[in-house]
Amino acid sequence: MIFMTIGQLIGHLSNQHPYLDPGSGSILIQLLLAGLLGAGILLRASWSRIQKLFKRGKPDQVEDEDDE
Amino acid sequence: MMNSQVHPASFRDPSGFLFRQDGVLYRQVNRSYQEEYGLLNSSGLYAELVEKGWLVAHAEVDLEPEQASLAFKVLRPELVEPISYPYEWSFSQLKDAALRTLSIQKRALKKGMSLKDASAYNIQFRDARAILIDTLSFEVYKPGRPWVAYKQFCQHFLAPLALMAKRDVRLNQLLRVYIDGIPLDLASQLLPASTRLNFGLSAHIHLHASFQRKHASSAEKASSRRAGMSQQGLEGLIDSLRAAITSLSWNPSGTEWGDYYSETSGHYSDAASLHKMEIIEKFLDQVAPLSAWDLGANTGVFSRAASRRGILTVAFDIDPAAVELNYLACKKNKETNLLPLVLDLTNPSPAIGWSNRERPARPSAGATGSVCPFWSVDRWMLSWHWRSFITWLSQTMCPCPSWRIFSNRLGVGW
Repeated sequence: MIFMTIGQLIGHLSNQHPYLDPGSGSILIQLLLAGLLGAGILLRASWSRIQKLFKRGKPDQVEDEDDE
Repeated sequence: MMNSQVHPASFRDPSGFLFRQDGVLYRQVNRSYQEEYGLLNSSGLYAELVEKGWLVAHAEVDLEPEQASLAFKVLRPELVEPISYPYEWSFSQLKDAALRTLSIQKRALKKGMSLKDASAYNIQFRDARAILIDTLSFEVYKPGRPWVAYKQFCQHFLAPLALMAKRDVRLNQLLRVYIDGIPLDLASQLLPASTRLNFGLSAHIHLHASFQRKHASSAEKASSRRAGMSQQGLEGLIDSLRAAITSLSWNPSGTEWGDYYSETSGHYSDAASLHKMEIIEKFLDQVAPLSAWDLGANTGVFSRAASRRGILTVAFDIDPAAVELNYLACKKNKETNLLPLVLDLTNPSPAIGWSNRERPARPSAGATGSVCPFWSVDRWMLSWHWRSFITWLSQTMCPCPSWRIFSNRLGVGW
């Protein structure tokens, strides 16, 4: 079932004629990693919500701070 | 009569292209990009990125388009000069360019857009800060769709950075050969086996390469609107790439010229350095060029004589450690008008890409009458064919009549 969906997705992307070739293998590994890492983000978000309950008043972390 | 020409590097993207008209650089936005261009503005993404200095600003102009049948708008982008290429950057320059690309992608996702390409050639440096110069790099984000530029990002940024950090810093020179980034199967073979224990490198390079090999021809022609990648998953992927890149480091030490000016090196006494600086400053004040190239700049001690005068200066050196130290100093001190680049003058950056015109060779990449090269180093001139060098400098590289070589061995004022 999962592979059917992935196959359809790749077919869909290849029919879009993007000017950049995303690569079939690159799409597949993204889907695999996104499943894992997305779950990680959910866990992290839940954990930070729990932490917030105990640390009121502390400002959220500034995004991209290591970029400057 | 108008003198107009499409930029030779601007043929890949159907959304638009760069062209020059009467010497001024413009960008044509095609009608096929109308929706994306509209969202870029209406979502506030353009304004936010420009305000941060992450994206080049532009003005919409009323000008005859280069290809009127396709045209939606003509933009006049702010110039970012000089243009440089990833194989001329030091480790931290490439790393900062990678992190900037990821930050832009995250901001774009929040505004309902996504980067449709993640080419290192779309990033340039202005005052030691990485800036995206391709306004047409964004597409409308469709929930469920994977990141179309993921493979390109890994090839252009992650693979060379991993090779530089984990194998040898000179391996970014592979980017000269592979214009669309280092193939991941090659990177995977060249990286030490220990990198398989690093989650980021293992997933985004080794496993990625193996998936590419196994599924090279598995694209099915079935069409469907269904898709399977959540935005949360995509953000997780971006965070993971960021973590992988942030963890990579390289210590610029123990190389050829890293300690050239240090007290223990014995190359220069303080008095000699001061004297040379005085002469260079006097020369710069006399000529007052708009831009200068310091050829063999080391960590840029003498380049700063020019950049501090507001002269746009490129500090070229063959040693990646010297260029790295120079760039880190520029960044730390928020210096302006100075761009350190890696360049071997005996084998300078060649013209590469489609028809050998996509990326010009370094001597012609920025040489104009206003560029004034000065050679501030006296280290290898006599061991190389210096007569050939001087002929090349005066005839091929730069039409500026005021170029100078400052050398203790050859005497001042060539």
